[in-house]
Amino acid sequence: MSAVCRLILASIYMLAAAGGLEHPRTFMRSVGDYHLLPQGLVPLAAATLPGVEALAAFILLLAVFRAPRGPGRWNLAVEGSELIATGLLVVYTLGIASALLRGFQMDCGCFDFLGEHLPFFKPTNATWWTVVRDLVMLIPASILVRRQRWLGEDGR
Amino acid sequence: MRSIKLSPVVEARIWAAIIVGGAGAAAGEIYNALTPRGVFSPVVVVASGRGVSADAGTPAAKPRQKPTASAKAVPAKPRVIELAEAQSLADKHAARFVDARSALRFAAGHIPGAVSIPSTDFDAAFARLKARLPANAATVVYCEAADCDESDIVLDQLVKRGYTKLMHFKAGMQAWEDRGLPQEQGAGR
Repeated sequence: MSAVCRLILASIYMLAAAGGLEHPRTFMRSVGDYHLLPQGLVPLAAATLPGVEALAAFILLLAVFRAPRGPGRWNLAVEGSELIATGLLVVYTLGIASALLRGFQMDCGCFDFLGEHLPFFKPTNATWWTVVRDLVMLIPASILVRRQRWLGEDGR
Repeated sequence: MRSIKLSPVVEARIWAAIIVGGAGAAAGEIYNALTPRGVFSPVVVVASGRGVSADAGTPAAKPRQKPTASAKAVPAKPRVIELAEAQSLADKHAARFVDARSALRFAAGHIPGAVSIPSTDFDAAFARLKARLPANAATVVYCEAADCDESDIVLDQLVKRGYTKLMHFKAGMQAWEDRGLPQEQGAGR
């Protein structure tokens, strides 16, 4: 079950990161459209997010084939990546919902670039359906985080 | 006030997330600093007063050369035009304008008479508009601003489809808007 959830999250984040890395400036404009960050921080966020997504996705993908067995650095790296994947999804979902509630119309900036490579893929604007989609994506993320031993090795 | 005491395992996990996130962030920053189209790449100023991404391969960065006989076999490289020429072409209806931005940005405001062919939905949009875009007609492609790359993608596709009179209005919609030129709104026809 963990492997399937990790594979789903890794796929989502690899595609998301690829868009931000392929079109950094378009991605930066999308980040700015959410009106969540001061203008000065938008380029920094646009440069940072795809890197974080790509590394977390890479670790999650490796963990599909080499699951962590017991405590250790690899286990921590995988659990840290699971936390990042979940945290980013929560931030993105809240960000889209917040922008929609404030009346902004914007491109999602999520997987739009796929349309350049896959003719059947239709780019979409950010809507409440995007929020629902992100909530669905949160299901595998929350399964992984729930499976982490939050009470410690001795169960306390 | 009660302080929250995290178990060592949870603390270690949070630190792991911070370290992985920090490494990814650093990688993203370095990538953007090194890639020509990155968010930190320097911008050079061209005659129009608008910035152009310092991409060594852009037509604006190179001096124009007279076409030679041997160059005939190579598809013509789109000519970069500036705001004054774009405005003149639009006023005289002397060229067709293609907006390469997303449908949403197009609907919010575009050059009058332009058609929407988003780079992310090229095939479907082109199939719909092909009849209105003859390959031998003067065609101007633009996107948001000098640093966007949607127009490059659409131009590449049009070159592949045999379009010969392509122009690249690189300063884009931002320059048009800054000059206070008229815009059309809506999804277009």
